Amino acid sequence: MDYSGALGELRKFVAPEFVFGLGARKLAGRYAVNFGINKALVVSDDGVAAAGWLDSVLDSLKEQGIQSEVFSQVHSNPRDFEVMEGAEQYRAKNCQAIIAVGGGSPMDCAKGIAIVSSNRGNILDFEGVDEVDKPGPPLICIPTTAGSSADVSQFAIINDIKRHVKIAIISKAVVPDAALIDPETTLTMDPYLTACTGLDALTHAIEAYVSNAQSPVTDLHALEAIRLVWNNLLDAIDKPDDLDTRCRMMLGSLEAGLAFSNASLGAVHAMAHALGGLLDLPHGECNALLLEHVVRFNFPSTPHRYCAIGRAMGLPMDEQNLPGSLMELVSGIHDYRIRAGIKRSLSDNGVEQDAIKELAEKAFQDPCLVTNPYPASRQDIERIYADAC
Amino acid sequence: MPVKKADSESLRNRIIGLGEKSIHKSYYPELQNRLAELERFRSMLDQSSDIIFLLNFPDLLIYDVTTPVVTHLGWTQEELVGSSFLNILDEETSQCFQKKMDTAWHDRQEREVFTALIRGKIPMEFVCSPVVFEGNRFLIIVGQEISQRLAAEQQIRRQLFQLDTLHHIDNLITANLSLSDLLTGVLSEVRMALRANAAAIYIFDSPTKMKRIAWSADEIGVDGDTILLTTRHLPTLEYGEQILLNGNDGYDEAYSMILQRIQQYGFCAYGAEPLSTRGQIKGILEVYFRSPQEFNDDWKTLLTRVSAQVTVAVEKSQMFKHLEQAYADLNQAYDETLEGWAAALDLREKETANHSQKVVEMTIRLAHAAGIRADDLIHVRRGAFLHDIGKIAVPDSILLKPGPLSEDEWVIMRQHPVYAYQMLSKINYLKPAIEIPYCHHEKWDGSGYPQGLAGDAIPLAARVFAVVDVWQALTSDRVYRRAWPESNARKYIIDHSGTHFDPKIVEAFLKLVIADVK
Repeated sequence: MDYSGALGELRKFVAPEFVFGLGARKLAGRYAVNFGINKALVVSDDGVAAAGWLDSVLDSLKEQGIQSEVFSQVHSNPRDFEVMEGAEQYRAKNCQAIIAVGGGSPMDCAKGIAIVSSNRGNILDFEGVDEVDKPGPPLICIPTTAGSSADVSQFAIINDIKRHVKIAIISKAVVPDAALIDPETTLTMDPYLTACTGLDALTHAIEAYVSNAQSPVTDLHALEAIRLVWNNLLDAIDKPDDLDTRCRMMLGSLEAGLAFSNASLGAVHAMAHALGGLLDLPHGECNALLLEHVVRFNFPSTPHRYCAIGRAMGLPMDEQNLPGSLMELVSGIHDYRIRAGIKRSLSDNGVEQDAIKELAEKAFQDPCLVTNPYPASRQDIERIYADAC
Repeated sequence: MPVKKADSESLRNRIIGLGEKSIHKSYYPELQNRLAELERFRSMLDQSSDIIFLLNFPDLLIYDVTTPVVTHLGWTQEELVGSSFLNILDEETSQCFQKKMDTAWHDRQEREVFTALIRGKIPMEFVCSPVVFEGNRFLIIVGQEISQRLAAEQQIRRQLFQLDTLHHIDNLITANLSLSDLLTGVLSEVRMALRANAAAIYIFDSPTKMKRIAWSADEIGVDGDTILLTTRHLPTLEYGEQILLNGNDGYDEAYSMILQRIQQYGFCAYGAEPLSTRGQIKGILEVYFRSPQEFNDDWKTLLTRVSAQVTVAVEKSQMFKHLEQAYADLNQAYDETLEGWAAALDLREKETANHSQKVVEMTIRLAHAAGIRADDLIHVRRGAFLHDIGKIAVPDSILLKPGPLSEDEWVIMRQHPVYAYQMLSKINYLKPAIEIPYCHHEKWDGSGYPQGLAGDAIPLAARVFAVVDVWQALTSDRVYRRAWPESNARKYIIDHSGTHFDPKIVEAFLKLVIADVK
């Protein structure tokens, strides 16, 4: 293990109580009972409902005599007004807890609803770090993708539709009370969603590992996450029904989540948030497209850590030949995403040259940039966007 | 704008959980706030004099109750919680309570109010509100002890009654009742207000003796006179204090004597209040009871207040009596004066000394016969006395002229009724007597003076007097002729009936004269 960082620096590690394993989602009812609630707001989306995962959670609640109200008007990149609508439903129906069933979008929306329910005001008032005074009601997250890790993270990303910005709400108060991580729920993901979310998890792990706030504990999870995702994502895409592969992907996502929730992220996420806010592009795909370019930019600031990442991926890394190793790593990541089916560029996704300045400005303001290993300027970011186009 | 290094450092610290407020989700601080809030709220409820019950519905078991239940009702919270609310109600209330609450729930009433006697002695009012907490039905019952309120209500009713009595007595005093009616009426009111069986008013007749001036009793057969008391028996009277005697015990000799005396008549309690004005004791108000009394403060105050009114009534009655006397004296003085004036006129005109007196007497008789009311006869009498008062303004040269008057002299002579009017109309007291002096020279056919009135337009008193005056003149000796025989005079009167005189008056006059002759 490389303890190259200053080991004496203060570091904190926060993780929710989580249950990992097949059928974990069916514990929702038991958890609700133990939290002492009578009625829960269940936040989900249409895709998850269609896959049947919502019903299986509702059944579990019903079995334990817990009433439920479903709020499923959630888009990907959840919007501020959706949060407010959910909070109103929570209030009007006298709910006492929130259960999120789905990917990053329903889970972030549920976090927003929780914040507004206990603190009042508008969800946009809570933008920033540690701006949430009162903890929300009990929040149980049941992830149905292997990627976002919102179920263990302190992040809630909400789309401010007026300003076209994804705001980040970062607070230990939004870490869920419990995560019921059931790999079974990822069986119904299509290859594209599997690829996007998987590459999101990979990005989490890489950014956490090179974060200037990493710690030995986050390193452990980050490297293990990189190994798990790298070795299983393509299989999961090829053999979507292979439960064993899905389990490994889910574990990889979980470990990536534990790492980035505590070590935070970097330029990839800062830039992906800007794309999501301005152009409403899918988060996972944005990450995938930006990752190789940010690796190239960051590599010189912490080459040995990047070598460790390459080794975890099974790429030939040579600490004596850093430029060569960089080439290997960048092309390795690039090839990997192509094989995963993410083949388009940013410009293919509609990102035009004259949007780059605005994107860079927004990314520059994103709190994720603070833990990027190399302090990127606006011009640096513009260049990276241009490279990814 | 570029992020400053320090800002960036602080932001990074917060992101990785090292900021001031970077704590893991904890409900404890908020929970503590809420608990403290509840604690404050609870002590507020406990400080309230109201007792608050929380009942499960529909089984009506007490779920919670506030602390005042201990101080107000004497039960502990432990005794009550878990037991049925019906147990603490009196039987009657408890029977209809269940039904009322069922209806209240059914009709979704906001609140239901009822009263009950708790522990057989504590009157309470309860306000019940159905509520739902977390899907469970409860009743919140706020109970308030209302004995003070009931007492206050009773007090108000009593004071209203007293006020009514005082008002009644006032009315009696201000009404123009006769003396004895006034005092008896007032005393009867006083007796009822003080709930006494008998009452009496005594006033000092002389410095040492009192006289009973009013007596009221609820039963016939008790003679107030026989229990008359004198100052000898009332040693505290001179201090102006109330005397309250009840039963036999512990009174000195003087009071014992009073008790012994009233006991002879079946009374056993006694109250008295001196009647005093301007520091001087005028008398005493006494009340007698056949049953023992407590004489509470309310009653004592009432006794003092009605005594003040009795004093006013007594004063008024005494004043009234004095006034009556003064009025009579004054009237007599007036009439003597008038008669003096009339006599002076008679003398001036060289009339016989008792001319006026005779005219007056006959006028009165005829006026009475003509139907003038007795009350008005006093004015007729004064008018008759003063009939020629206007002649005071006529010079002696005309008035006393031995021969016939010239035309100019007659003009002056005929003004004397107008002079009389001018003189008398300014004197309030004589205004009602003005008709005769002003109008006795009018004639039935309108040929008289000074106004030339005719028929009924001439005041009745004046028509009466005209007949008497002429009759008296004809049947009296004059300087220039002898008196006419009565038959001639009568003929003259009859001849002038319907021209000079009112025929009806003449008719009445003739009956009167014939009666006189007989």
